Amino acid sequence: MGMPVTIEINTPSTTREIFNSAFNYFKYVDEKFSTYKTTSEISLINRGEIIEKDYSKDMKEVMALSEDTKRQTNGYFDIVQNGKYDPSGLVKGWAIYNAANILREKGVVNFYVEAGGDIQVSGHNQNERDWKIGIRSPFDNDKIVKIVYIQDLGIATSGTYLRGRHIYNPKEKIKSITDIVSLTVIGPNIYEADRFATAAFAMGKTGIVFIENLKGFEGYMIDMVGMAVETSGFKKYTKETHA
Amino acid sequence: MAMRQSVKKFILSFSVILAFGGYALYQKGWFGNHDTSSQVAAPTSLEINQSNNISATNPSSNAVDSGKTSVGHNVGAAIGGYKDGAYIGRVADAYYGNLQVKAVIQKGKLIDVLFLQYPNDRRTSIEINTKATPYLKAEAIQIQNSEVDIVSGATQSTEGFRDSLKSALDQARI
Repeated sequence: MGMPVTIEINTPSTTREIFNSAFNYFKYVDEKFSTYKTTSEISLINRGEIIEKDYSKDMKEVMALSEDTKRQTNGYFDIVQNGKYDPSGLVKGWAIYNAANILREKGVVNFYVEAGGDIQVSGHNQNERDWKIGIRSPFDNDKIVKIVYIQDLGIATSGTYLRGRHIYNPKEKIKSITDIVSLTVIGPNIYEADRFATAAFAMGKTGIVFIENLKGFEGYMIDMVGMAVETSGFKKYTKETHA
Repeated sequence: MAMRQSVKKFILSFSVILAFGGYALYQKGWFGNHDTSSQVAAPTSLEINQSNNISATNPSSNAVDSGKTSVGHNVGAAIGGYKDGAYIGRVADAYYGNLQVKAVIQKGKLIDVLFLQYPNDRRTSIEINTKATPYLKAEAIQIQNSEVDIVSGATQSTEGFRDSLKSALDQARI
Protein backbone atom coordinates (compact mmCIF):
# COMPACT_ATOMS: atom_id res chain seq x y z
CA MET A 1 0.00 0.00 0.00
CA GLY A 2 3.04 2.22 0.19
CA MET A 3 2.09 3.90 3.43
CA PRO A 4 3.48 3.67 6.94
CA VAL A 5 1.83 1.32 9.40
CA THR A 6 1.85 1.89 13.15
CA ILE A 7 0.92 -0.65 15.76
CA GLU A 8 0.83 -0.07 19.48
CA ILE A 9 0.24 -2.92 21.89
CA ASN A 10 -0.30 -2.34 25.59
CA THR A 11 0.24 -5.79 26.98
CA PRO A 12 3.33 -6.50 29.06
CA SER A 13 3.80 -9.99 27.65
CA THR A 14 3.81 -8.94 24.02
CA THR A 15 6.64 -10.17 21.79
CA ARG A 16 8.45 -9.05 18.67
CA GLU A 17 6.91 -12.05 16.93
CA ILE A 18 3.41 -10.73 17.54
CA PHE A 19 4.26 -7.38 15.97
CA ASN A 20 5.93 -9.12 13.05
CA SER A 21 2.90 -11.25 12.35
CA ALA A 22 0.83 -8.11 11.84
CA PHE A 23 3.49 -6.21 9.87
CA ASN A 24 4.11 -9.24 7.66
CA TYR A 25 0.42 -9.35 6.88
CA PHE A 26 0.61 -5.78 5.58
CA LYS A 27 3.57 -6.74 3.42
CA TYR A 28 1.52 -9.58 1.98
CA VAL A 29 -1.37 -7.20 1.23
CA ASP A 30 0.99 -4.75 -0.44
CA GLU A 31 2.52 -7.47 -2.63
CA LYS A 32 -0.92 -8.50 -3.80
CA PHE A 33 -2.85 -5.24 -4.07
CA SER A 34 -0.38 -2.47 -4.78
CA THR A 35 -1.00 -0.89 -8.17
CA TYR A 36 2.52 0.54 -7.90
CA LYS A 37 4.08 -2.93 -8.03
CA THR A 38 4.24 -4.44 -11.52
CA THR A 39 4.33 -7.94 -10.06
CA SER A 40 1.28 -7.60 -7.82
CA GLU A 41 -1.79 -9.67 -8.55
CA ILE A 42 -3.82 -6.50 -9.15
CA SER A 43 -1.29 -5.30 -11.74
CA LEU A 44 -1.36 -8.67 -13.48
CA ILE A 45 -5.14 -8.50 -13.56
CA ASN A 46 -5.02 -4.98 -14.98
CA ARG A 47 -2.71 -6.17 -17.74
CA GLY A 48 -5.13 -8.99 -18.56
CA GLU A 49 -2.69 -11.67 -17.45
CA ILE A 50 -5.05 -13.36 -14.99
CA ILE A 51 -8.67 -14.25 -15.65
CA GLU A 52 -11.36 -13.96 -13.03
CA LYS A 53 -11.71 -17.64 -12.23
CA ASP A 54 -8.01 -17.74 -11.38
CA TYR A 55 -8.06 -14.84 -8.93
CA SER A 56 -6.69 -15.69 -5.49
CA LYS A 57 -9.14 -16.16 -2.62
CA ASP A 58 -8.32 -12.78 -1.10
CA MET A 59 -8.61 -11.05 -4.46
CA LYS A 60 -12.03 -12.60 -5.02
CA GLU A 61 -13.09 -11.45 -1.58
CA VAL A 62 -11.94 -7.87 -2.16
CA MET A 63 -13.62 -7.77 -5.56
CA ALA A 64 -16.89 -9.02 -4.06
CA LEU A 65 -16.71 -6.54 -1.18
CA SER A 66 -16.05 -3.76 -3.67
CA GLU A 67 -19.12 -4.71 -5.66
CA ASP A 68 -21.23 -4.72 -2.47
CA THR A 69 -19.89 -1.31 -1.47
CA LYS A 70 -20.55 0.12 -4.91
CA ARG A 71 -24.15 -1.00 -4.69
CA GLN A 72 -24.62 0.26 -1.15
CA THR A 73 -23.29 3.69 -2.08
CA ASN A 74 -25.17 4.14 -5.36
CA GLY A 75 -21.96 3.91 -7.32
CA TYR A 76 -20.06 6.55 -5.36
CA PHE A 77 -17.61 3.85 -4.37
CA ASP A 78 -16.15 2.38 -7.54
CA ILE A 79 -12.79 0.67 -7.83
CA VAL A 80 -12.72 0.94 -11.61
CA GLN A 81 -10.73 3.99 -12.65
CA ASN A 82 -9.74 4.69 -16.23
CA GLY A 83 -10.57 1.12 -17.12
CA LYS A 84 -8.31 -0.34 -14.42
CA TYR A 85 -8.97 -1.78 -11.00
CA ASP A 86 -7.73 0.13 -7.98
CA PRO A 87 -9.28 -1.28 -4.82
CA SER A 88 -7.07 0.71 -2.45
CA GLY A 89 -10.08 2.61 -1.07
CA LEU A 90 -11.32 -0.63 0.45
CA VAL A 91 -8.12 -2.66 0.87
CA LYS A 92 -6.64 -0.31 3.45
CA GLY A 93 -9.50 -0.70 5.93
CA TRP A 94 -9.87 -4.39 5.10
CA ALA A 95 -6.17 -5.00 5.76
CA ILE A 96 -6.15 -3.12 9.06
CA TYR A 97 -9.24 -5.05 10.12
CA ASN A 98 -7.58 -8.37 9.31
CA ALA A 99 -4.33 -7.38 11.00
CA ALA A 100 -6.29 -6.46 14.14
CA ASN A 101 -7.86 -9.92 14.08
CA ILE A 102 -4.42 -11.50 13.82
CA LEU A 103 -3.46 -9.70 17.01
CA ARG A 104 -6.67 -10.75 18.77
CA GLU A 105 -6.09 -14.36 17.78
CA LYS A 106 -2.73 -14.11 19.51
CA GLY A 107 -4.47 -12.95 22.66
CA VAL A 108 -3.71 -9.26 22.38
CA VAL A 109 -6.46 -7.13 23.91
CA ASN A 110 -5.23 -3.53 24.16
CA PHE A 111 -3.88 -2.16 20.91
CA TYR A 112 -4.37 -0.03 17.86
CA VAL A 113 -3.44 -0.73 14.27
CA GLU A 114 -3.01 2.32 12.07
CA ALA A 115 -2.20 2.66 8.39
CA GLY A 116 -2.37 5.85 6.36
CA GLY A 117 -4.40 7.68 8.99
CA ASP A 118 -7.05 4.96 9.40
CA ILE A 119 -7.20 3.21 12.76
CA GLN A 120 -8.72 0.18 14.44
CA VAL A 121 -8.62 0.37 18.23
CA SER A 122 -9.15 -2.34 20.79
CA GLY A 123 -9.34 -2.25 24.57
CA HIS A 124 -7.59 0.59 26.36
CA ASN A 125 -4.55 2.79 26.03
CA GLN A 126 -1.60 2.64 28.38
CA ASN A 127 -3.42 4.86 30.87
CA GLU A 128 -6.25 2.32 31.09
CA ARG A 129 -8.54 4.75 29.28
CA ASP A 130 -10.32 4.98 25.94
CA TRP A 131 -8.03 5.51 23.01
CA LYS A 132 -7.73 9.26 22.40
CA ILE A 133 -7.67 10.09 18.71
CA GLY A 134 -6.88 13.42 17.12
CA ILE A 135 -8.34 14.38 13.74
CA ARG A 136 -5.62 16.01 11.69
CA SER A 137 -6.17 19.50 10.32
CA PRO A 138 -6.56 19.30 6.55
CA PHE A 139 -4.73 22.64 6.35
CA ASP A 140 -1.72 21.86 8.51
CA ASN A 141 -0.19 18.44 9.03
CA ASP A 142 1.17 19.36 12.46
CA LYS A 143 -2.15 20.32 13.98
CA ILE A 144 -5.24 18.51 15.11
CA VAL A 145 -8.68 20.05 15.07
CA LYS A 146 -10.85 17.55 16.91
CA ILE A 147 -10.38 14.95 19.63
CA VAL A 148 -12.46 11.78 19.94
CA TYR A 149 -12.44 8.94 22.44
CA ILE A 150 -13.35 5.53 21.07
CA GLN A 151 -13.64 1.96 22.30
CA ASP A 152 -13.36 -1.03 19.95
CA LEU A 153 -14.29 0.96 16.87
CA GLY A 154 -12.72 1.97 13.59
CA ILE A 155 -11.98 5.53 12.50
CA ALA A 156 -11.14 6.47 8.92
CA THR A 157 -10.44 9.88 7.42
CA SER A 158 -10.69 10.49 3.71
CA GLY A 159 -9.04 13.61 2.48
CA THR A 160 -7.32 15.33 -0.35
CA TYR A 161 -4.50 12.82 -0.68
CA LEU A 162 -2.09 13.47 -3.49
CA ARG A 163 -1.74 9.81 -4.34
CA GLY A 164 -5.15 8.58 -3.23
CA ARG A 165 -6.52 7.97 -6.64
CA HIS A 166 -9.62 6.44 -5.14
CA ILE A 167 -10.61 9.87 -3.92
CA TYR A 168 -12.48 11.24 -6.86
CA ASN A 169 -16.12 11.41 -7.85
CA PRO A 170 -16.93 8.50 -10.17
CA LYS A 171 -20.13 10.22 -11.16
CA GLU A 172 -18.41 13.33 -12.46
CA LYS A 173 -15.06 12.17 -13.66
CA ILE A 174 -14.20 15.45 -15.34
CA LYS A 175 -14.84 17.69 -12.36
CA SER A 176 -12.80 17.50 -9.25
CA ILE A 177 -13.96 17.42 -5.68
CA THR A 178 -12.95 20.71 -4.21
CA ASP A 179 -15.66 21.63 -1.79
CA ILE A 180 -14.74 19.37 1.12
CA VAL A 181 -11.22 18.53 2.19
CA SER A 182 -11.69 15.94 4.91
CA LEU A 183 -14.32 13.47 6.06
CA THR A 184 -13.83 11.33 9.15
CA VAL A 185 -16.06 8.34 9.76
CA ILE A 186 -16.33 6.37 13.00
CA GLY A 187 -17.88 2.93 12.55
CA PRO A 188 -18.16 -0.47 14.20
CA ASN A 189 -14.82 -1.49 12.70
CA ILE A 190 -12.18 0.03 10.42
CA TYR A 191 -13.21 -1.95 7.31
CA GLU A 192 -16.71 -0.46 7.48
CA ALA A 193 -15.50 3.03 8.42
CA ASP A 194 -12.95 3.12 5.60
CA ARG A 195 -15.16 2.00 2.74
CA PHE A 196 -17.92 4.44 3.69
CA ALA A 197 -15.49 7.29 4.31
CA THR A 198 -14.13 6.73 0.80
CA ALA A 199 -17.59 6.72 -0.76
CA ALA A 200 -18.93 9.62 1.29
CA PHE A 201 -15.94 11.80 0.47
CA ALA A 202 -16.66 11.31 -3.22
CA MET A 203 -20.14 12.72 -2.62
CA GLY A 204 -18.77 16.08 -1.55
CA LYS A 205 -20.84 18.13 0.86
CA THR A 206 -23.73 15.67 0.90
CA GLY A 207 -21.38 12.93 2.09
CA ILE A 208 -22.08 13.84 5.70
CA VAL A 209 -25.80 13.34 5.05
CA PHE A 210 -25.05 9.85 3.74
CA ILE A 211 -23.20 9.05 6.96
CA GLU A 212 -25.99 10.61 9.05
CA ASN A 213 -28.42 8.19 7.41
CA LEU A 214 -26.14 5.20 7.94
CA LYS A 215 -27.08 3.44 11.16
CA GLY A 216 -24.13 2.81 13.46
CA PHE A 217 -21.83 5.40 11.88
CA GLU A 218 -20.90 8.95 12.80
CA GLY A 219 -18.99 11.50 10.78
CA TYR A 220 -17.12 14.79 10.90
CA MET A 221 -16.67 16.66 7.63
CA ILE A 222 -14.45 19.67 7.03
CA ASP A 223 -14.87 21.97 4.04
CA MET A 224 -12.32 24.06 2.24
CA VAL A 225 -12.88 27.13 4.42
CA GLY A 226 -12.47 25.25 7.69
CA MET A 227 -16.11 24.78 8.58
CA ALA A 228 -16.94 21.39 10.04
CA VAL A 229 -20.30 19.61 9.98
CA GLU A 230 -20.92 16.61 12.21
CA THR A 231 -23.57 13.90 12.29
CA SER A 232 -26.14 14.13 15.06
CA GLY A 233 -24.60 11.36 17.16
CA PHE A 234 -20.97 12.39 16.78
CA LYS A 235 -21.02 14.22 20.10
CA LYS A 236 -20.94 10.98 22.04
CA TYR A 237 -17.34 10.43 20.93
CA THR A 238 -16.07 13.81 22.00
CA LYS A 239 -16.32 13.03 25.69
CA GLU A 240 -14.30 10.40 27.45
CA THR A 241 -16.40 7.61 28.93
CA HIS A 242 -15.16 5.94 32.06
CA ALA A 243 -14.34 2.28 31.68
CA MET B 1 5.77 2.56 20.70
CA ALA B 2 3.20 5.23 21.40
CA MET B 3 2.84 7.91 18.82
CA ARG B 4 2.35 11.19 20.57
CA GLN B 5 1.01 14.13 18.74
CA SER B 6 2.35 17.20 20.47
CA VAL B 7 0.82 20.34 19.19
CA LYS B 8 3.01 23.29 19.83
CA LYS B 9 1.52 26.28 21.53
CA PHE B 10 1.55 29.12 19.13
CA ILE B 11 2.59 32.65 19.82
CA LEU B 12 1.13 33.93 16.63
CA SER B 13 -1.07 36.94 16.63
CA PHE B 14 -3.31 35.94 13.78
CA SER B 15 -5.07 33.11 12.01
CA VAL B 16 -5.75 32.54 8.36
CA ILE B 17 -9.03 31.49 6.87
CA LEU B 18 -9.08 29.90 3.44
CA ALA B 19 -11.55 30.91 0.76
CA PHE B 20 -11.96 29.14 -2.57
CA GLY B 21 -14.14 29.56 -5.60
CA GLY B 22 -16.47 32.43 -5.09
CA TYR B 23 -16.43 32.78 -1.35
CA ALA B 24 -15.67 36.28 -0.28
CA LEU B 25 -15.23 36.41 3.45
CA TYR B 26 -14.76 39.67 5.20
CA GLN B 27 -15.59 41.29 8.45
CA LYS B 28 -17.96 44.07 9.07
CA GLY B 29 -16.80 46.43 11.75
CA TRP B 30 -13.54 44.72 12.66
CA PHE B 31 -11.35 46.48 10.13
CA GLY B 32 -13.00 49.88 9.88
CA ASN B 33 -10.28 51.34 7.70
CA HIS B 34 -9.63 48.39 5.44
CA ASP B 35 -10.04 49.38 1.83
CA THR B 36 -11.42 46.46 -0.12
CA SER B 37 -11.31 48.34 -3.41
CA SER B 38 -7.55 47.96 -3.48
CA GLN B 39 -7.86 44.21 -3.86
CA VAL B 40 -8.50 44.01 -7.56
CA ALA B 41 -6.37 41.02 -8.40
CA ALA B 42 -8.67 38.21 -7.33
CA PRO B 43 -12.34 37.71 -6.72
CA THR B 44 -11.70 36.33 -3.27
CA SER B 45 -9.68 37.69 -0.41
CA LEU B 46 -8.93 36.76 3.14
CA GLU B 47 -9.13 38.95 6.15
CA ILE B 48 -7.13 38.32 9.23
CA ASN B 49 -8.24 39.44 12.62
CA GLN B 50 -5.28 40.63 14.59
CA SER B 51 -6.67 39.41 17.86
CA ASN B 52 -6.83 35.81 16.70
CA ASN B 53 -10.56 35.57 16.15
CA ILE B 54 -12.40 35.81 12.89
CA SER B 55 -15.95 36.69 12.06
CA ALA B 56 -17.04 35.61 8.64
CA THR B 57 -19.86 37.02 6.61
CA ASN B 58 -20.99 35.57 3.35
CA PRO B 59 -22.10 38.53 1.27
CA SER B 60 -24.59 36.52 -0.70
CA SER B 61 -26.65 35.72 2.34
CA ASN B 62 -28.16 37.75 5.10
CA ALA B 63 -26.82 35.55 7.83
CA VAL B 64 -24.06 37.07 9.86
CA ASP B 65 -21.78 34.86 11.82
CA SER B 66 -21.34 35.57 15.50
CA GLY B 67 -18.24 37.46 16.48
CA LYS B 68 -16.03 34.92 18.18
CA THR B 69 -15.59 32.13 15.69
CA SER B 70 -11.98 31.11 15.54
CA VAL B 71 -10.74 29.18 12.57
CA GLY B 72 -7.34 28.65 14.01
CA HIS B 73 -5.05 28.03 11.08
CA ASN B 74 -1.57 29.20 11.84
CA VAL B 75 0.84 29.76 9.02
CA GLY B 76 3.95 29.92 11.09
CA ALA B 77 4.81 33.57 10.60
CA ALA B 78 6.82 35.34 13.26
CA ILE B 79 5.41 38.51 14.78
CA GLY B 80 6.89 41.57 13.10
CA GLY B 81 9.25 39.42 11.05
CA TYR B 82 8.28 40.69 7.60
CA LYS B 83 8.93 43.70 5.41
CA ASP B 84 5.89 45.65 4.33
CA GLY B 85 4.67 45.10 0.82
CA ALA B 86 2.91 42.57 -1.40
CA TYR B 87 4.67 39.34 -2.31
CA ILE B 88 3.59 36.86 -4.94
CA GLY B 89 4.18 33.22 -4.14
CA ARG B 90 5.12 30.62 -6.66
CA VAL B 91 2.51 28.69 -8.60
CA ALA B 92 2.02 25.47 -6.67
CA ASP B 93 0.43 22.21 -7.63
CA ALA B 94 -2.67 21.74 -5.54
CA TYR B 95 -3.41 18.38 -7.20
CA TYR B 96 -6.68 19.52 -8.66
CA GLY B 97 -5.01 22.44 -10.38
CA ASN B 98 -2.66 25.34 -9.87
CA LEU B 99 -2.70 27.58 -6.87
CA GLN B 100 -0.96 30.87 -6.37
CA VAL B 101 -1.29 33.43 -3.60
CA LYS B 102 -0.15 36.97 -2.91
CA ALA B 103 0.72 37.86 0.66
CA VAL B 104 0.25 41.43 1.87
CA ILE B 105 2.39 42.62 4.78
CA GLN B 106 1.58 45.76 6.68
CA LYS B 107 3.39 46.97 9.79
CA GLY B 108 5.41 43.79 9.70
CA LYS B 109 2.41 41.50 9.89
CA LEU B 110 0.56 39.38 7.36
CA ILE B 111 -2.75 41.15 6.90
CA ASP B 112 -4.09 39.65 3.70
CA VAL B 113 -3.73 36.67 1.40
CA LEU B 114 -5.10 36.99 -2.11
CA PHE B 115 -5.68 34.08 -4.45
CA LEU B 116 -4.24 34.75 -7.90
CA GLN B 117 -4.91 31.23 -9.11
CA TYR B 118 -6.91 28.48 -7.49
CA PRO B 119 -7.91 25.04 -8.66
CA ASN B 120 -11.66 25.38 -8.60
CA ASP B 121 -13.13 26.61 -11.84
CA ARG B 122 -16.44 27.16 -10.17
CA ARG B 123 -15.85 30.78 -9.28
CA THR B 124 -19.48 31.62 -9.00
CA SER B 125 -21.01 31.57 -5.59
CA ILE B 126 -21.11 28.32 -3.73
CA GLU B 127 -23.78 27.78 -1.14
CA ILE B 128 -22.75 27.71 2.45
CA ASN B 129 -22.62 24.13 3.65
CA THR B 130 -25.22 24.80 6.28
CA LYS B 131 -27.79 25.31 3.54
CA ALA B 132 -27.32 21.73 2.37
CA THR B 133 -27.39 20.30 5.86
CA PRO B 134 -29.25 22.82 8.00
CA TYR B 135 -30.10 20.33 10.70
CA LEU B 136 -26.57 19.13 11.33
CA LYS B 137 -24.34 21.00 13.72
CA ALA B 138 -21.67 23.14 12.11
CA GLU B 139 -18.65 24.73 13.71
CA ALA B 140 -15.45 26.41 12.68
CA ILE B 141 -12.57 24.04 13.27
CA GLN B 142 -10.25 24.90 16.15
CA ILE B 143 -6.72 23.82 16.85
CA GLN B 144 -6.60 21.41 19.79
CA ASN B 145 -3.64 21.63 22.06
CA SER B 146 -3.74 18.43 24.06
CA GLU B 147 -1.76 15.30 23.40
CA VAL B 148 -3.45 12.34 21.81
CA ASP B 149 -2.56 8.67 21.39
CA ILE B 150 -2.77 8.65 17.61
CA VAL B 151 -3.88 10.88 14.73
CA SER B 152 -6.37 10.13 12.00
CA GLY B 153 -6.11 12.03 8.78
CA ALA B 154 -4.75 12.47 5.31
CA THR B 155 -1.11 13.43 5.28
CA GLN B 156 -0.96 15.52 2.18
CA SER B 157 -3.60 18.19 2.03
CA THR B 158 -3.65 21.70 0.71
CA GLU B 159 0.06 21.48 0.08
CA GLY B 160 -0.39 23.82 -2.82
CA PHE B 161 -1.69 26.55 -0.54
CA ARG B 162 1.12 26.08 1.98
CA ASP B 163 3.77 25.95 -0.75
CA SER B 164 2.63 29.11 -2.46
CA LEU B 165 2.12 31.06 0.77
CA LYS B 166 5.45 29.92 2.17
CA SER B 167 7.29 31.08 -0.94
CA ALA B 168 5.57 34.47 -0.67
CA LEU B 169 6.45 34.81 3.02
CA ASP B 170 10.05 33.73 2.38
CA GLN B 171 10.46 36.76 0.13
CA ALA B 172 9.02 39.03 2.80
CA ARG B 173 11.23 37.88 5.63
CA ILE B 174 13.53 40.46 7.11
